[in-house]
Amino acid sequence: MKGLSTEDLDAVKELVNIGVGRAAAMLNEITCSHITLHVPTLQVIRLDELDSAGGLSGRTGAATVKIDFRGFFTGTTALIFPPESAAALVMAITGEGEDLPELDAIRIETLMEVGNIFINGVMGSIGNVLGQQITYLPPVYVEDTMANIVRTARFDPDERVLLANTRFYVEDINVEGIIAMILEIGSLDTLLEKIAVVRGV
Amino acid sequence: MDLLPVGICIVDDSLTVRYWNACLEEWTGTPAAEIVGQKVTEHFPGLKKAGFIDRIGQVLQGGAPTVFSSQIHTCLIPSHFPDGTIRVQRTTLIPLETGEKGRFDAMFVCEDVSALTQQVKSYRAMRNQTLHELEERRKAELALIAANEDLRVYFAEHTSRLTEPLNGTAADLEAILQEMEAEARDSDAVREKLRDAIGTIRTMEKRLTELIEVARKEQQDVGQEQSYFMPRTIQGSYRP
Repeated sequence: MKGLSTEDLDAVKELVNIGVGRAAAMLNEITCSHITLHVPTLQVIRLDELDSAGGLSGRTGAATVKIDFRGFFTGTTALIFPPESAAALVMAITGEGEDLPELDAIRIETLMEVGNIFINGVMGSIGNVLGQQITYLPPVYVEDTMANIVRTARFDPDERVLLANTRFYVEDINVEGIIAMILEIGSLDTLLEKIAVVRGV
Repeated sequence: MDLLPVGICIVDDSLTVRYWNACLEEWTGTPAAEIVGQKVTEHFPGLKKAGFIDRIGQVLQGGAPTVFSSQIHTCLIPSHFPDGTIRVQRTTLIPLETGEKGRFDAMFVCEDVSALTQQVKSYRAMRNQTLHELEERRKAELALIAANEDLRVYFAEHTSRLTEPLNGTAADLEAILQEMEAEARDSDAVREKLRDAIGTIRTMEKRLTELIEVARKEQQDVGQEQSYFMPRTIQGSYRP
């Protein structure tokens, strides 16, 4: 695999930030809350390192919204939260006020929409750089340990993962989630090549 | 798609309805013949809102499928039950490739989640009520434990106030008995000791009565019935 320079990482992080900004604007448009999103860190890791690097290792489950995409650019993008944080985020966004932060069927559906908007924002930003059509499957919600999610993914453990820590600020709460873009071998190189063309490098 | 239990509507990139299934006909009361070929926003103007139209546009450009949750939106294509209540829906928009390159239609898949929503709300209410009652029970149990401890301490303190004088009275009565058996009695001294013993016994009777009243009151407070027995031998039958 082509080596990842600091400039490459910064360029990818910029794309993610653009997408995150669009997602925040859309979320603010459709909800009664004011949300700001911030992506402080981005790193590239191996798929089999996701469980430990994601910071959710050992937990009984992680609340995950994921979208598979395929074509010349293939992979899965997931937005991952600890379940209680996901519930708190949904309740803050929908203004539910005082209730137990519990993910039930209704809140899972809302989390899917939030994750969908977020992932679509990021993938839209990346898709604009790629300049080619990507085929997406409908979003899916999964609640399982990170280790199991990784194990059931169709990818090889050597696949690369773009891992971005993301902070959601809503009202007076601060929720931290993870964006994980799992890419098939070759797809990350394709993305970096396209970014280099855009940058004129 | 007419056999599916979900609402299906397909629009092209000009938002013109190309397909309207039987489920949506039933839900909305709008026959397919009336809406196919028309702009969906003319029949459902709410779809023109920025939060909808932008996302519908992204799907029509071949973007990712888009979910509209029931909690945030209630529904995209409004419909009502016979009693007038609104049908709560989860809607997914899916891009459909047309035969032409770069052009997509958008398929609305509308699922009725009204019953699920009601069940979840009922569950939440029941859960909250149960948790509240559990908390009240916990507080009551803590209060009962504290009260029982207070009662235990009270009885422990008063037991010594009963047993010590009774021991002294028993000793005095034994001494009187010994003097009588030895026929070496001083009548005045004996009378004095007997009066003291009676006085002590009366005091013990009063204290026991107080204790029994306290215990009875505690029992009534926790809703238990119990009868208390006071021996007639200490009900003041002796008079000097």
